[in-house]
Amino acid sequence: MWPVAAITFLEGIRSRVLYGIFIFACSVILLSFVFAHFFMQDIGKVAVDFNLAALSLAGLLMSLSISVDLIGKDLDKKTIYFVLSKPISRNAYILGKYSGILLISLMAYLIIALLTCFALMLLQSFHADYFKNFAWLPYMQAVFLDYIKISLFNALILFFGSFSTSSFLNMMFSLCIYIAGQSYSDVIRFLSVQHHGEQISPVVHYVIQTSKYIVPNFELFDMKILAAHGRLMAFSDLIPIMGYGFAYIALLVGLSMIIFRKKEFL
Amino acid sequence: MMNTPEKLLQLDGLCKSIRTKTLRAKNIPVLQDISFDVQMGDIVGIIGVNGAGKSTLLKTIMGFLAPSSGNIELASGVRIGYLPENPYYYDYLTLKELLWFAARASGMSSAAFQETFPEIVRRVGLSGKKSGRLRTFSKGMTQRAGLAAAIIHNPDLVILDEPMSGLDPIGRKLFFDLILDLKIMGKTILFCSHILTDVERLCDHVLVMHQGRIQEHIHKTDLEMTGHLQVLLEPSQQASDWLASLPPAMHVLPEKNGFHCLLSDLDRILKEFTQKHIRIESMEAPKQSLEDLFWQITRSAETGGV
Repeated sequence: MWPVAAITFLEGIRSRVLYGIFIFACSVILLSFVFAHFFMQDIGKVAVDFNLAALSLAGLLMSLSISVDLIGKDLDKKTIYFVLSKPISRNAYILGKYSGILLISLMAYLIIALLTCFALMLLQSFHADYFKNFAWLPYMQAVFLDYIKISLFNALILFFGSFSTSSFLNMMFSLCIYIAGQSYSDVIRFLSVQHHGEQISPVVHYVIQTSKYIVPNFELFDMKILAAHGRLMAFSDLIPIMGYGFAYIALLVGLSMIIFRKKEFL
Repeated sequence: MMNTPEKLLQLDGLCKSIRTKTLRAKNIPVLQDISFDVQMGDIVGIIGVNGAGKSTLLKTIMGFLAPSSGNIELASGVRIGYLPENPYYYDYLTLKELLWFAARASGMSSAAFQETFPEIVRRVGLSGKKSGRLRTFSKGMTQRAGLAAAIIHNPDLVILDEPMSGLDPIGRKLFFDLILDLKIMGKTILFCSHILTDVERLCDHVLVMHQGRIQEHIHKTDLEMTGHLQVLLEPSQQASDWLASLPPAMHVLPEKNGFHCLLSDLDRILKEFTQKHIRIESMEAPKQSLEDLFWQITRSAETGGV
């Protein structure tokens, strides 16, 4: 499994797309200096929110550009024959690929998080009065949970990649689920309020309720508001969220392994 | 588990069908009742026209495709090296990284890899390209890098899928010599190729495939001597009369004023010639080429004969 993880990691760090994403993330972090000044009273909160958003967006773009191709490219270019001709089980291949992408995103998150910390420290030194509520621990907690979110998103991409041979379809499926997972609690809240006495169709209600159990709730991992207010999430709240994330990842990686085990490479 | 320790690979009644991806899906048989075995030290070649099922057979042996029925048995502990057809490797890797992956994935330690690496790149003639990215390699170099990746862990059985396809004559010669080296080292090799002269020179056994079946299993000795002599006679009335009196089973060659006969019949025929004053112009034991045999077999399979 580790040789697969190692070459997946090498693929990631040698990808030009990754450098593009880094430049993009740096630009957004720099922009946070400008935008934060538009909200002088809330400069601390806006800066934290902006930097965490930049980190999250960079993680998302990285997953969509690198992870979607991980298995698809091996199948498309037939590199899979070379890899699986070695005494590597298909399960080890899936685990290796996933571990590799986790390592790439961990490295990227550490670098971008370090850059955001640097940006926040600079802003804090210039506007100490507006950073009274700011605390590093909640910020780091938000970064950590965002990393779990992106790991879950990568597991979703891996799952679609295990049966879809098209990278484009994989990207579309994953992105749709991500958008649904980011916003369905808003949809449920909206639908639960009756508008002018109109009833929601039972079919819509059923679809929404079912999707609640199928679509991973990405919104759970969004700690931007808490971090912006310098509030640390209680350990008793943090553990179930982490457990939810890890359980979903285990389920998706497990399903990917089962599907991939039965796959034929003609 | 197989009983004979020398038998590395055994296929028994292997069949494979592929389901079409159309609205009215149906199963197309691509391999039918394939049975053969590969003994330790054998060089077995698989030949056949395009679409005969050669690559599918190798992919099924490698486990990339699941057999629809039948058995594939590998002797326990056999290490396999595989070179796919038109291989594509991670082109962002250097040759050293590719071979590191191949070695580590095959269970070699880092120390063993460091020891083997210089020797293996020397053998495939890529010593000067150790740190070169694979994306800068020509097709021939990629093919040799692929062979190095296939054999770095010293496999017992080497499976090569069209190893010389698309190579220029120099590349082909280099690759041919590499396979010959493996043969000299006593490796067991199973490979498919379109280049019949190479197969003929390298292989101990040749399997001729046609429409997913093994039509013929040819042993090297079958190619060396067919058991028939071609005898041409000096033109004379006696010779013409004698040829005209021969039964059709004797394979008369009227346009050449000669005939084919079995070696065992030669003594009797020579005595007869002495009595009838028939003079022999030439006599030879023609070697039947693999190409001739291949044509005969495929033509016979297409016309429904055996």
